[in-house]
Amino acid sequence: MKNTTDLTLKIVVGLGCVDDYPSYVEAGADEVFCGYIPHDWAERYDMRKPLNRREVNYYNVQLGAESELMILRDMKKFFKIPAIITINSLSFERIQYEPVRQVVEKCLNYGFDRFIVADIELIKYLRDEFGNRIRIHVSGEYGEMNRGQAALLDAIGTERIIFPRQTSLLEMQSVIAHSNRTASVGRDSHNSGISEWEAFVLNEKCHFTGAYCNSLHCDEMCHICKLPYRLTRLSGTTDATTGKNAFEEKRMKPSEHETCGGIIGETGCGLCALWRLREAGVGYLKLVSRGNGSEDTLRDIRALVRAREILQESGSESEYIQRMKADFFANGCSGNCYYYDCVTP
Amino acid sequence: MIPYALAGGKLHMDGGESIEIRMLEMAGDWFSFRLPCEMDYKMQHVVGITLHFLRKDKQYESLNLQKYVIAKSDRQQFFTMYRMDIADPEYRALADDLGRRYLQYIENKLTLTDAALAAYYTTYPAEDDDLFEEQNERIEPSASGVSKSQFLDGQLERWIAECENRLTEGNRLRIKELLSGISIGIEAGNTRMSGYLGALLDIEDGRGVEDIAEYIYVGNSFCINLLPQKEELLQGLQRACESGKHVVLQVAPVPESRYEEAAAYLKWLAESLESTHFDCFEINVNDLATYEMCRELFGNKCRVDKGILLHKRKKDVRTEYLEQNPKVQYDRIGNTLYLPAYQMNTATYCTLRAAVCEHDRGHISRVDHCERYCDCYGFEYPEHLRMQGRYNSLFGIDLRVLWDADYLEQLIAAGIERVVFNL
Repeated sequence: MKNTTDLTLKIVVGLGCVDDYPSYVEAGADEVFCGYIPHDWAERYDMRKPLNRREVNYYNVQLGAESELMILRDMKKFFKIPAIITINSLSFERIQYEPVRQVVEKCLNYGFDRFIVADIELIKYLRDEFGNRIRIHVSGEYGEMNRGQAALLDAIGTERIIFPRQTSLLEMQSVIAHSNRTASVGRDSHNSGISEWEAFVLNEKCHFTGAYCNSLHCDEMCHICKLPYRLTRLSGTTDATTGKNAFEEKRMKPSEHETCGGIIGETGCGLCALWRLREAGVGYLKLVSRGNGSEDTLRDIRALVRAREILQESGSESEYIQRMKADFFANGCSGNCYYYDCVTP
Repeated sequence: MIPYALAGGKLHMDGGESIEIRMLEMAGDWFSFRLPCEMDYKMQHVVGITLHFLRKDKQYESLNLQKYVIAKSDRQQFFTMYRMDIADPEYRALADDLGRRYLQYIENKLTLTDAALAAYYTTYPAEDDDLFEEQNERIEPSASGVSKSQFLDGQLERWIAECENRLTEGNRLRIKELLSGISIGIEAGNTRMSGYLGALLDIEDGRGVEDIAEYIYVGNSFCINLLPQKEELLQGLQRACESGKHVVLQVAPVPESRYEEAAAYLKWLAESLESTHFDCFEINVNDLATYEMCRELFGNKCRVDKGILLHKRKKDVRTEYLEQNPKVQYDRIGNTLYLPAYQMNTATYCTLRAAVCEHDRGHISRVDHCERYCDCYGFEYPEHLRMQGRYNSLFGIDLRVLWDADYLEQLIAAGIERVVFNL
């Protein structure tokens, strides 16, 4: 087992177009992830059966054409910072496997060998097709991540697990510890198993769980979690039943934290949790940014780099949090915590 | 830069090779693109160009360019930029149309509300969301002095009453016949449709659909906190076996913090069930690890199925506003159909608890000792959406299956052998 205090946390950044790659790398990104949807796929399946979880047409959230993939390949060669391709739709129909295989083959030909995948049947298929030529990162959209799931994914040749957004720090610690203890059980000889763990730290926290979000993500309509709603009682109950004054605020608006503004992590922040993430064995920090403005993403990368420096300089969790907050949040943070179980001093 | 999904193309080289290109900027008589520097020499081999434009109806229109001039414009570190001049009225029309729509979308996105944006591009009735907002001003439910219609279950009863009004005798008889050919299941505790279904199916002697159902579904597919108490489950199973019914236990995805507890529960269950019980017991599981665990524990003794959350498909009440011929929405496991509610979204950390306790649905966190706020509260949505938030999930509710025989027949025709009523 690794000595987690020596673990250098890597920053993984979403890339919406190749133009941003050099500046993101120079700002401190250790890896980027991005989508590549060939025109043939888009024409055949459009966004109703998408290749990845960016299911919109009117935004720059995919690399685009093969020519862009080639340009990214050359940038990657120069900067030596990996780029991972997302193929993380929640599920694929069997008939889509061959077109997915063709996309993966093309990516491999251009030197992209890591893929973020959410559908376990697709992982098995790709593993059968490509063997150890591909490296699989299981998407945060896969589903509840418990030790049993990690063992299943380990056995089919997963290199990295990205914890779903709604996984607590203690749960991550438990899954990783259990995985380290049981490593190699059920693996074949060509499978080196899960060696990397990634967690969300900045932006786009959602109330709901990606793996179970089957609703529309399209250009024309907002996400279903942003529809107007109100808390309502079932008949025959009172506040006395629950002991809560649940209607203290009459108006409940969706997503109080969903506006992107000046505060780092306004739409979701796990900066306080870096100490514990490192302690748990998480080595990769996900910065969600595809679709965000490049300047906002650069600011976020720099913030993460600085937070990581403070972490490395700090002798205790409380020192880290105090220094980090003083650096970034002198006027208060968003309070939109990814990890509420991280008790801040 | 134009999003690639809106407009792209292919350069065709002599020898049959082609490469996808991305249109970076465009006007009525030109567009720009770029290629990796290594491809500079290939530009002299270009023999044709096909462009693709996403139309308003979301279909692509392709255009093979006949007259064009490619000019190298700028070589940078990783790519060379090109400008393609085109004198083609068809190109101009497509480019102008796309440009207008793209700029309009940006403007709409920046200036319209979510509902107004939806209304601009679809048949979404934005004004009906406004009605809901007005209602917000006046309704604060309390247990006394307000009518039941203001409660979440009152909304369901109102919708069921609408079904009654729409149900013709002809449809009723056909629905009854359709359902008589398949097995009926019902989720325990969800009996709001009991009276309606009783009348629909001509159930006599004051009995409800729960009395004639062959399958009783217990537990919950979405929230592990709703796993039945052990004794309650065993007693229910005993009663079901004695009356010739089956019990189907629904197990939600198991978080790591509950993994050992859930494993112990399932092991206990496998050991506690008497051999006769296995004949009238099934289990649906919603994460793969627990599914494998259950197959080991129960696999050769009773039916173990992957649950609703492992049968992923797009489901959204708003699809009818987006598509001209929307697919019927439902949850299905194998040959079992769940009606009329279908899951659309689920929160691992309970949004209902966050709303009740924190007054902020976003203030979510892991809760391992649940206080069952879902027994008392839910989330209400604008009436036209026909959706509700129950437990930790959002459900669409399609009651048309209960008054439109053609609609139900269409669903059942796809090999359905069991219908589970879940409202």
